[in-house]
Amino acid sequence: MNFDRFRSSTADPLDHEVLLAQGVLKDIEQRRNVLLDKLARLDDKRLTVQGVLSAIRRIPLEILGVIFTEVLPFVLNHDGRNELLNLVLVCKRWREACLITKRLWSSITIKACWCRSDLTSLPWVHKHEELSYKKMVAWLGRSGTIPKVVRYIATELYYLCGDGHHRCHTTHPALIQLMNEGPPIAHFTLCISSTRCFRTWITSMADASASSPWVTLKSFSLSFIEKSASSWDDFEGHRSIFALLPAVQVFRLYLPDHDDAFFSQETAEETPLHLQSGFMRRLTEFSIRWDWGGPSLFNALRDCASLVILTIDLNYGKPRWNANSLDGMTPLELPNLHRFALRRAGSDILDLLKTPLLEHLDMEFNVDGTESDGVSRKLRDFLHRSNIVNTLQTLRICDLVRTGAYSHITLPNLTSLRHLVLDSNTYGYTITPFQRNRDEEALSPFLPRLEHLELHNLERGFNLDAELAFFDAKTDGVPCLITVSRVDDPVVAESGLQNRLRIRNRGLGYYLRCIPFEEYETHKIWDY
Amino acid sequence: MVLLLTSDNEMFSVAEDVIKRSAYIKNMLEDVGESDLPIPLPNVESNVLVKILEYCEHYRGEPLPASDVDPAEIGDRSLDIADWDQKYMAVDQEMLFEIILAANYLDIKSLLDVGCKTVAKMMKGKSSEEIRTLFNIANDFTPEEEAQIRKENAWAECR
Repeated sequence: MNFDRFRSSTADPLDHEVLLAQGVLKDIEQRRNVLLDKLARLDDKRLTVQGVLSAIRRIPLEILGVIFTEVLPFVLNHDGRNELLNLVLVCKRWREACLITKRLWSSITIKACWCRSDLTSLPWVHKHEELSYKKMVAWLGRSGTIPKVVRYIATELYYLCGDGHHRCHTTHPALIQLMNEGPPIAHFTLCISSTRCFRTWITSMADASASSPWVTLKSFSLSFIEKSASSWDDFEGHRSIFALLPAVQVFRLYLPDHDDAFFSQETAEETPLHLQSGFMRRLTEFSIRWDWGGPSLFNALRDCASLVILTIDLNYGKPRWNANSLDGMTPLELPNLHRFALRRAGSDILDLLKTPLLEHLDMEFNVDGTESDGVSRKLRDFLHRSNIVNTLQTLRICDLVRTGAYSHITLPNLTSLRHLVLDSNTYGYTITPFQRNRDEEALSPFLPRLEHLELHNLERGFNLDAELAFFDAKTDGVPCLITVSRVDDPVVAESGLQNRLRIRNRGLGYYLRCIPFEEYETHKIWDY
Repeated sequence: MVLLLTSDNEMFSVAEDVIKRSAYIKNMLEDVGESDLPIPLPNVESNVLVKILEYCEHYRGEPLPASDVDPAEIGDRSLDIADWDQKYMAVDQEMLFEIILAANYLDIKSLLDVGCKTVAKMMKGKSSEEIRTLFNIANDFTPEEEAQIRKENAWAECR
């Protein structure tokens, strides 16, 4: 039957026409479904054949491994581990790429098991955790000879830890077994909630053999939760928690906030850090989060003659050291220090240090404007006192907050400086030399060895003319790359900026690159 | 000028300071010295070489960024890709992987880095199935093999 007449008519169909139409429609839908099935199979086949020709199949396993290392964090946390498993499970070839990329397997993060941490379920918890020991060893075993990193985090629900009703989470059996019998570990991070937890840990490690991972550690981070519910109670030197540390060369110590660890500011300032002289003398790298005030930090640093890398985080603390208590100690000379990083601090601490071999200075201030004004002067005094004006190679100044008037950064002519980073400061940078006479200016170009200038997170209003003015006077020297990112301007048009600044015309050898703005995040400075 | 011969027999004449971003070509020129003979690139097709030369031309003479930052401290910033590089890499997947292969073959480290970061950004946070779909990769694991891998690597711990 022909249904064409219904195309141009609204007439009701007759009963037999309805029945017929229903039948034809059913038939059409069946044929359509068959064709759709066929199309789906063809599409599937097309994708398969396309997949055969895809260039991704020709990417060498080593390059896939490089891509995977970009995907994953440097030290794998729980999510990172799952992400690695996702890569392993894509296909057999990707699994092979993961397995030959040893670095991917060199770190693990263990989180304390909180699900049944009350004493009644202890046997179950132990069985549960022992099971994981073999898996952890197998995981780390895939990293071959790459230095291994283990991180243990037991800082959640800290108020329940070891209170008599709940076991202390440093008694994690698998972790104890790993640090007693496992493969050599290059770095171990222990995040805990109190000195009591650390004493428990030390007790657990009391029988560790001389060849155990714990005793042979090269690098150790001891991190106390910032807002500790327990008071600091390490007052007796001979029984100090620091007396039994392994003889590491790298030590990172994150102490609890003074507000939570002590009843009064005076107690915080008077409390010594019983870091042993012999222990500190061996250190080549030391990081500390410390806001207690008083002389304890400087007493500890006095023994650090071998120190090459130092990071001090003052945790937004005001400088509470009393000049009298530091008598005879300042300026504290760190004779072998090459790299110094300051975090969440003012620049006052520069007045107390002398570092004649320093090559890399990295300062994240994160303090309010009262500190900012004197930075240039303090920095200059520090550089001259240390006699490193002609040897400093890299300088980073981050998170400096503007006070009132427009501020600018003045630097001495750092003749060896290769890399200058100005990041997240709330004003533009008029990078100028300290006042010099005409003869000096004629003789020596400003920052002549500068290879890379980074200006990050500039406010939108800054047009870079002022920031880059010193380049006009830079008539010779090495080619310099300028990297810029701006606040509220995720993608600055690089070509537009190039043209507006006439960057190519300023002289041969200056190049501009724009990268996306990214919020500065203080938590990224930690190793856990 | 340097002559380059691609796998599809197209000849390119390129300024020496442009193509010297390729360590492979740079070393070859240093080893062989000046020559009128083209350098054969049997692993690079002409359409890919055009793209590679666009990169080399853009960064002509530019110094490489200093790498004195501790990778452990830079966090997610490691996946930062410069504005121009992002636009340059906005190509279809086949070309993206061809660029990576060519950068690897020609030993252009900065381009290989950008290529790897671009692919890494595409993959980040995706499940195995989503990655397979994204790159049109067949799952050649049996359900039993997949379950075994999951079992081997699932640790007994809470989140």
